[in-house]
Amino acid sequence: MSRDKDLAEIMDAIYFAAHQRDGWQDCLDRISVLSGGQSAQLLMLNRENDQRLGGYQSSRALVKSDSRGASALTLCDVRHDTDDALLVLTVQRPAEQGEFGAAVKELIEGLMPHIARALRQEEAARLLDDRQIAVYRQRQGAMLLLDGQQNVVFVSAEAEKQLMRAASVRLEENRLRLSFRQSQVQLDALMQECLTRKYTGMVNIGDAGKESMRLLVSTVQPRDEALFLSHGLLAVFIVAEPSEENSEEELIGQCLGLTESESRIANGIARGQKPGQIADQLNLSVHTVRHHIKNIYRKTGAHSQSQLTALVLNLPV
Amino acid sequence: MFVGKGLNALLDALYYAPYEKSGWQEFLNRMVSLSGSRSARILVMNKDADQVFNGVQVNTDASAHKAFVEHYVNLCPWRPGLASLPPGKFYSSFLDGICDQKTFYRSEFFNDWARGLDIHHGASGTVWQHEGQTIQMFMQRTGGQGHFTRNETNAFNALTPHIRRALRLEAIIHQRKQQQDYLEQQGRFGAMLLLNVRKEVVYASESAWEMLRAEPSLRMHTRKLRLKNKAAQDLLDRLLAASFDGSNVHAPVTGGVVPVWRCGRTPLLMQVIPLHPDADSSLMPVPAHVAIYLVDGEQQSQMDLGKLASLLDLTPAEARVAALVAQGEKPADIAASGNVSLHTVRSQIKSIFIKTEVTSQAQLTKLVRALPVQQQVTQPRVPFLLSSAG
Repeated sequence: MSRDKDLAEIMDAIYFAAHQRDGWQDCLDRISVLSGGQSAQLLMLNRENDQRLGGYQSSRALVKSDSRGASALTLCDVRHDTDDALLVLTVQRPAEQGEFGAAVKELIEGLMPHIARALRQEEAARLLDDRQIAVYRQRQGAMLLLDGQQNVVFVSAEAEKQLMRAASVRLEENRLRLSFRQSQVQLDALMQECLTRKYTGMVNIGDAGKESMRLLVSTVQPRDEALFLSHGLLAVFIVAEPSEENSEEELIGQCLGLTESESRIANGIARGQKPGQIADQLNLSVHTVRHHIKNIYRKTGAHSQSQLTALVLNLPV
Repeated sequence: MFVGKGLNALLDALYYAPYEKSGWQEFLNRMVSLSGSRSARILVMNKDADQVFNGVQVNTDASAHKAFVEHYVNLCPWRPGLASLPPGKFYSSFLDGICDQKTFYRSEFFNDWARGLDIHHGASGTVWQHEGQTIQMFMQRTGGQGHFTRNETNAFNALTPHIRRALRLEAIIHQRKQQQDYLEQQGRFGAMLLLNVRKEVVYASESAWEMLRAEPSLRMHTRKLRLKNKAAQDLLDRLLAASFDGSNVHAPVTGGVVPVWRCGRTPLLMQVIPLHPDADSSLMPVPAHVAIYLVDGEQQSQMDLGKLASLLDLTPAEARVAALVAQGEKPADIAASGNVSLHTVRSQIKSIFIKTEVTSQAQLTKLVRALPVQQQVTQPRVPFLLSSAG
């Protein structure tokens, strides 16, 4: 019975792996425990079996057989063919614990079609992840998103900085925690209000004497029972002194993918300075500056100083 | 009933359902054909299962489904039994004593609704209960197809954990998509594309599509980005190849920019950034996607007054004044530019202060600047420095 329960939990772990932090690692930990192993690894190879496409491992990594001698380990290897890849799941334990039984192999073979199916879905999940990473990089102010249970589900880069600096607000197990009881009660009430209807409001969270900090809470999507499993979404903006503004050069570097010194030089050129002047200013030899300029051309596809100038001056900074 | 290839295809359809448009219909279609049934439906209901929020159905026409949801759902003699029986299992209407066939044939439900559709037998179960919602699934058969046997009901039962899991996935995906759509509307560079390792565009945001449609210098061809300018295309290809090059483990590529020079206009910038996964780099050799932001130098950022008004609960006129104050304008200038009296502007500012709980123009500026109310708008302007460029 408990084995059935374990199996059901492993199946949950397999199918939800793509949507959880370290989901596959957790899943391999469970498989490893259930099959009496010490560590487990899942590899994806191309069909020709000569190129590694990707893989995951349990929290304890496999021991390489050449580092301790192959005889010190026993392995259970299970292969599974899919339409476009070969999956190999390996469970490992020290040799003194003996060979893996046939039941273990059977168990893992039974799981493989599910693992293959979950991996195929992962492409869709990864696309969502990467869309999220891509927006995280954009400058969009100090914003957090909270779901209908008031769990924080997104924190922008700027909000991360603000949370680091602020004493009166912090994240605790994906929840927004305020140091002052009174503010916390206000915030909770406001979030409830915003989940019931389209609403917006503010909470003061700063200490009385110090520079005030406020949270602006606004409804993105109220909790709506009529939709198929939609539980509401809130946006919280941190209103405070902005953390250090990025300098112009940093922004040029970010936009054009340049290093620090390259951005400084690109900025100089855009202001009409000659390589010699820039070299004097930055205490570099003119050769070094010319070398940097060449690299800037290579990276930006510009072919002349005037083209580079047009490029830099047209950046949305 | 559910074995071998048929079962595999059914599970594929089920676990894909949350990711695909009409994925749930596809799953129900397979259920119907594999189990030799007439029709099937999934209903999302309230906790007590007496009110239908939503649902999917196959092989019942829309008006019959509407009639069922609006009127007959609580008359269906198979359903009261379901509420009292343990969830997570399917029950055959014929075998499990939910409603004996004679009573069923006498019921208003059968005579007014089911008879016309030739529905005589059912198997139904509560597949998931979650946060005040009850989700029930129904399989239906004609008189000719016969009732659901014990073996068939058991086969449905074996499937319920999978159905429950797929419904949970549906809930997760639905919510994540909603978050993502919101975030993408907020971003300053709204025009974003994601390309996979085969250099196919797998995702383009709404404003990226707009730009692709409007911009003659780049287009999509068989899911790939094509640039008119050959040098730009070469640079893009090089950047993409470098981003996905797995052999370059020690120097992860940070991306770069492809300027698309446009005759007589400022260049369009394509910022290419490989999205390196957090995973172990020895096991995950290459990033799955590269992001490309399209930055149009001719677009200027402007405050979205509608959004500002809705975030701070201001009137349109107040939003305009708040935006101008945040940009450092003096009340007198605001009055002059809007053709109103200084008195009006002052009273608007007072009203803004009360609504936003600030006490000074400096505090208001801070508040407005903390909000993502910048939007990109195209404002064709005189090309900048073009005469000297290239």
